[in-house]
Amino acid sequence: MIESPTQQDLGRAKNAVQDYFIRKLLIPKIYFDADWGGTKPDLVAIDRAGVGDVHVVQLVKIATEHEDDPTSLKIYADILINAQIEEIRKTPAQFRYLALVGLAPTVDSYQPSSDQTKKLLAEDGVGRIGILLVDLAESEAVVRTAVRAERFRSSRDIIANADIFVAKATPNWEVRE
Amino acid sequence: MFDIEVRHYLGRARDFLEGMKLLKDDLEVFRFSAALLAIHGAISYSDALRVGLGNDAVFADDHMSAASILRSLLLERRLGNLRGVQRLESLLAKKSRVAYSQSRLDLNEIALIVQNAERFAVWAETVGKELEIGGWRND
Repeated sequence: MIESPTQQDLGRAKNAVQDYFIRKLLIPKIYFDADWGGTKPDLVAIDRAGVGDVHVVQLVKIATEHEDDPTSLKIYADILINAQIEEIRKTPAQFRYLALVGLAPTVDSYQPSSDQTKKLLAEDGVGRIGILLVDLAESEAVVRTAVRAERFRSSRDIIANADIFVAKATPNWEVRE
Repeated sequence: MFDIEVRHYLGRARDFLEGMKLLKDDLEVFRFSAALLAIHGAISYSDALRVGLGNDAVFADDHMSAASILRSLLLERRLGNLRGVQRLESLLAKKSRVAYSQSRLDLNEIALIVQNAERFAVWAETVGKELEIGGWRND
């Protein structure tokens, strides 16, 4: 099956984000397109061989026509992020991210406004959704942090979910025992 | 009972492994540093497991007996998967050579030490959680 260019971009972005988490976490297990706690994030990474914190990522593709003009990109990216915030907020995980995916280097210059950054916070302030920027324009896809994710409250449900998930799902990347 | 000690050794183990991870992309330059961090990471994981399983006689200069003590403790708890103990033995056997020997270790050997340490860490993290060792938490 031949994938559309957008699907291929998102596939490259998943690999790039996976590399980011391989570097960031310690011996994680990483899953693509998994059913996770009633949601379907693009990537789930579970730290420390699947017994640590859960990180979920939703990719957000920027349409090509908005990519060359930084002003247009900023407005469009804010709209896209706003549309995804509630969904990712509902996803049960200690760390939650939106990843903006672009083909032009301008994606790398995106910085949310302070109002936008406030919307990323948990209601009680414990936890903040992180924003990653994925630049596919380079010969090697590059991931940069625009807003650092802060840890959301953990819960029995997240831990129980992770135990069941790790026992059943096949990781796309792991260090095998 | 030994939760604080377990956390101490576990924190040390993860710290060493994080350091090894930073160096492993350039083993040509950092071969001995990466290998030593790998071995010491494994030793600290082993110490965390031993202390958590009730053996608090963990001494810095008694690494060679660490694997056999760990094996006995795990057998007492009827743990079937002892693959990690074999990896620990293999890593401990290389410690003196990495730290003191004048012979040159080739890159493949170093890469194997790093890989063994990562696989040992996966095993140790899983066993620590499975046996519900006090202090084995996600700091």
